[in-house]
Amino acid sequence: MRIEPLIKSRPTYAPVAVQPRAQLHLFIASDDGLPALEALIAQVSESQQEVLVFTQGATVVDTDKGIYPMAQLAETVGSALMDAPISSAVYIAGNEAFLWDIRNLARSQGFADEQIQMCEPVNNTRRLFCTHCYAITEDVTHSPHTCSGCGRWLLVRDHYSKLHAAYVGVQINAENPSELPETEELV
Amino acid sequence: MSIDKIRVQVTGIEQVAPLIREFQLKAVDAELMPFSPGSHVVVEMPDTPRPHRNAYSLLSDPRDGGCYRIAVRLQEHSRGGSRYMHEQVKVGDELWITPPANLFSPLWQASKHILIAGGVGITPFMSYLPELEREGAHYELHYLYRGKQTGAYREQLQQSLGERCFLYDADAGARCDLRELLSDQPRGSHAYICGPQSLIAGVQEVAAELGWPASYIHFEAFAAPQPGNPFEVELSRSGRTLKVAADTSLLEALEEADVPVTSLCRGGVCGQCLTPVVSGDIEHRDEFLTAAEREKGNCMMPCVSRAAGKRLVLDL
Amino acid sequence: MRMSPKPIQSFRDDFTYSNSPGAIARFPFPFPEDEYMYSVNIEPHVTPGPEGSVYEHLLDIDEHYLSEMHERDLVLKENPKRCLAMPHMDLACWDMIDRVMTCFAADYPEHFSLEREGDHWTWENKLLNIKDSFTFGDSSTLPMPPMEYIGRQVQGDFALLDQRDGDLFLDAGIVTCPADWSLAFDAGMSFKEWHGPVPLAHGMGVFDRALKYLCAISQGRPVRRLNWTLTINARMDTSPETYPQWGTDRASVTPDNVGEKVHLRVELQVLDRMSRSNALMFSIRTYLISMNDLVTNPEWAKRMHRVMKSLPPELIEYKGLTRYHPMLVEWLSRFDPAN
Repeated sequence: MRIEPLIKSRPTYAPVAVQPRAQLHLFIASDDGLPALEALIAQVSESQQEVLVFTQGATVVDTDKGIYPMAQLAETVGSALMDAPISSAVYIAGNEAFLWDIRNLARSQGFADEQIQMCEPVNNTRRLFCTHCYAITEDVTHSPHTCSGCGRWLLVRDHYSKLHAAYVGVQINAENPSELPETEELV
Repeated sequence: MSIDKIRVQVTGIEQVAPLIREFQLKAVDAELMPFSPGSHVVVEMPDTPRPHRNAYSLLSDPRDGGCYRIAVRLQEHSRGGSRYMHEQVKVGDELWITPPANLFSPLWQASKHILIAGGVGITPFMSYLPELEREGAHYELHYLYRGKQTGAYREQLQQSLGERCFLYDADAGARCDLRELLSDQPRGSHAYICGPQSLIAGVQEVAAELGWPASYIHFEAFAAPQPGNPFEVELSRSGRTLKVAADTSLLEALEEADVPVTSLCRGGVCGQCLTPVVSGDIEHRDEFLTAAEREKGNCMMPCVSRAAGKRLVLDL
Repeated sequence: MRMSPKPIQSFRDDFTYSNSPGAIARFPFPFPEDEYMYSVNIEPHVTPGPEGSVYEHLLDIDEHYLSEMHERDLVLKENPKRCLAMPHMDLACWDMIDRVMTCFAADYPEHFSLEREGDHWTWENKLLNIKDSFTFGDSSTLPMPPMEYIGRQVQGDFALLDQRDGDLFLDAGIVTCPADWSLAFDAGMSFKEWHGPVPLAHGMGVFDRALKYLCAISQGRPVRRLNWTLTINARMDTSPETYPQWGTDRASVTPDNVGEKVHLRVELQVLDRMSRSNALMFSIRTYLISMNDLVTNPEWAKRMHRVMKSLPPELIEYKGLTRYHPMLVEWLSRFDPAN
């Protein structure tokens, strides 16, 4: 039996499968996410359906092969989404914040949630939203974590906002500032 | 102030198609409230031996608090409601209606709205159109009807919507090619269907084949309970036993016996009349309960669902 | 008895907030039984309710009106993002203006009046010395965005929930006195998402049933429920945003100051269908009462003790009572003859 997570807003990720009725398949990955999509890309390519692949290149950039620097990726993907027919499928792989940023981009271009599939995040890093100063801190792996905006010591909670693509952080020792709790690795 | 019912007077009746009559309703005591496109009201008809309560879409302009308009198609197998509206109701009569409720609202995030009406299913879209115009929304209307029976408002619609209005009169041999209709629609389009179950199923099937996202297809089925076999119902708390006739719904039988059950859509959609069942097999006909809930067999929607056998025991 | 607004009292710093005997008498005590039970507890909000009670009108105005409006102004000046409305919620905000003004003018004619000529409306709020004429539906004719404009004139937090695909989305609101939830973070969430942190209830299917019920609410048939927590000091703004300022309050409770420090915080939540937009208006009207005032009613005192004593540990944790819960139970026990 699978244990249900205590906080229901935390996303769960179902296995990703090719949507056979889509006319266009868009694969979007960060460089460390691409391996998770490769089998699916091969599968769709064999069926001769139209495929577009976009990757964020951390070290190598080759736009002919669909490998873009991060800043350009969002823009390129955005215009590809805009040109896509109603019957399109989007597949995303990367860390969790990347998944939901791209998902939000696709939603804003008229895609329905069931057209967008996300692979299990490639790692446990979290984007953190500070509930006190609203600053965003990227790539958080431990709780508590220092806020990049106000410097407070934030407990990283499992409560998740799809819109912010972030978890909420709340000052951990606000009730007793002299308490300095131990740091735990996030799962 | 909470409002349970609104007393209205029939201020106009018009035959808008061979089998469809339009009724104009004005409030007797107060102003009518504005409503959202796609809303319906339940009209209470004081017929004998039992009253009828039918849900009808509002087809007037949602911002117009002056009057409400509804259109009623005379049903061949009328259980009494549509026949009463057609044959008994006269200008000047008073009726009770519920405040508007909406289970078929447009999605304003849509890049384009594709309205598909079958017969008297044009009615909810009549309230969409003024609002879509005000919003400057991108839309088109596809209207399927039989000119010898339905097809209300088609001339006025064609005139005001022009190229955005597509008419298909089956009695004149015109067919609507759903595949052509749904192909090449822009991404972010939402389709809305109001009409018979066959039309809804047809659009859903073609849309799925074409790779449309299922959540962008919205529909409202005609919400009328279908007749079935007569049965008995025992109320375990009061010990009473009621008979439910073939052409009466269980909800109507309960209401007739003054057993209070809250209801809203009266078509098995909204979930308001959920009633606990103690024993007896149920013929579920609603759209509300999940498969798992049906399996348990401990609750039902009496507005449309019935006993599968001769007897049901309800926890009432 | 009619409640007339008192001069401004504070919900921060020196905490001059107090309840008159009349306000204590009408306090919505939320526990119908000795043992704490989790339930959906939604019921029709049939108005007019009992005269003088918090249920008499759709939206309750009481002696704290001026104090709460002043507090709201302080919060919004510190952080304007405590009020927001997504662009597609504009019509819903105007629906809320219509509902609040129409009800206030009818229910409290001594304080409010509304004149309507087509879309030309004139609104007078005598308590706040406001008199404005505007074109209904045209936000440019108001001195500030519609949600903030009306939110600054009505007690309680408000959220407007957009209904789509059989779900409700938190797409607009003015939230300056929340029981520890953040509008800025929760904005755009679905019904189950924003209830994500609530323990126990998910497994019971409570939210599935509540959601279906709420989606089917029709115009003119609002529903209500009571929710509760405890707050240290008469602090209205117990938001996550300001938690660093009030977190230490929880450690300030001692056996000697329980009666004045610990407050029962009750939310009268009302859900009402909006006319033109089909949005649901969710009003969260907060009432605060100190333990000292609460125990002036012996029945409440006894029941409060029994409920606190039987509270499940998950709820003690979720509601943030851990630090002082044992002290409170001990303090209340003296009012329970069973002890």
